Amino acid sequence: MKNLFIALVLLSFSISGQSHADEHDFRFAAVDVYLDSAEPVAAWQFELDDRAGVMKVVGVEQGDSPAYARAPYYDREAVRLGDADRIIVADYSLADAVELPSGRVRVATVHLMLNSDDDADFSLFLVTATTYDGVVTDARISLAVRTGSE
Amino acid sequence: MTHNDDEFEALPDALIEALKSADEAVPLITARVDREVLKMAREQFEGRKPAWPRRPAWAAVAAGVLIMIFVVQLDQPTQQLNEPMRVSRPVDISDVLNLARERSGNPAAQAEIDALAMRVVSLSPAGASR
Repeated sequence: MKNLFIALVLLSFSISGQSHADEHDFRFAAVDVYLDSAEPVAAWQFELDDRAGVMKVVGVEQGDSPAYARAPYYDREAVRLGDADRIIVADYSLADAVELPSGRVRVATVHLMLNSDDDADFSLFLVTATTYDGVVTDARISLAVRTGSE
Repeated sequence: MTHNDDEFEALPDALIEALKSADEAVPLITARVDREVLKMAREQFEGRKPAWPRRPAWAAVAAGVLIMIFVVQLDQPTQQLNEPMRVSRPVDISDVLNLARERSGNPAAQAEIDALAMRVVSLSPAGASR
């Protein structure tokens, strides 16, 4: 009898949780950020925002260049608290100039949760990209979105 | 014999005579003479410029401003070693790169580098990079 009672309680919680999830439609997406520079890049920084206001950043992943092997810098605390409705991502490398990436390279992937069926309206801004000599280079930044469902 | 004559008895005759001749009435300068002398003096020195021309008032103001600037600069705290840069623009990752290169070879400096980097990417208004 006692086991039956516990099972009923768990079942009720399960049903309640399911209906709660149904009320909040959300999707996940990954935004690959690419930097395109004619010169090797020793430091870069960008800001990603969503003008539609539907995105929450849930994580940031490093890019493809071995010169930037670790996870880039971003506000981990804001992401952990679910407050990151925009994100500033940056990294630097102390590698030699020959090891630094040039051309089009994925520098980071930003993982998002989209809180609505509405499409996000991304705004990507390159704050700076610096060469090995510390000079700001005329680089371009772009993104590619990969979407998924819950 | 007067009181003065008693005093003179102790002095040599030549000195007594010299003193008596010097004891003449003081020449009287009237107000008219005084004005005339003043007028002549003014005419004499009218065209002469002073050796040190008078500084205009703004020179005193400028000197005051310079002193104030000097005092304010003295009051500024000196740059701390753990604040490697003071830039007028917002701090960005290139500053972190510069700091990392300056501290290259010092493992203990990584925390300082990371702190500056976290300030660059902070989303809070206090630490926002722009």
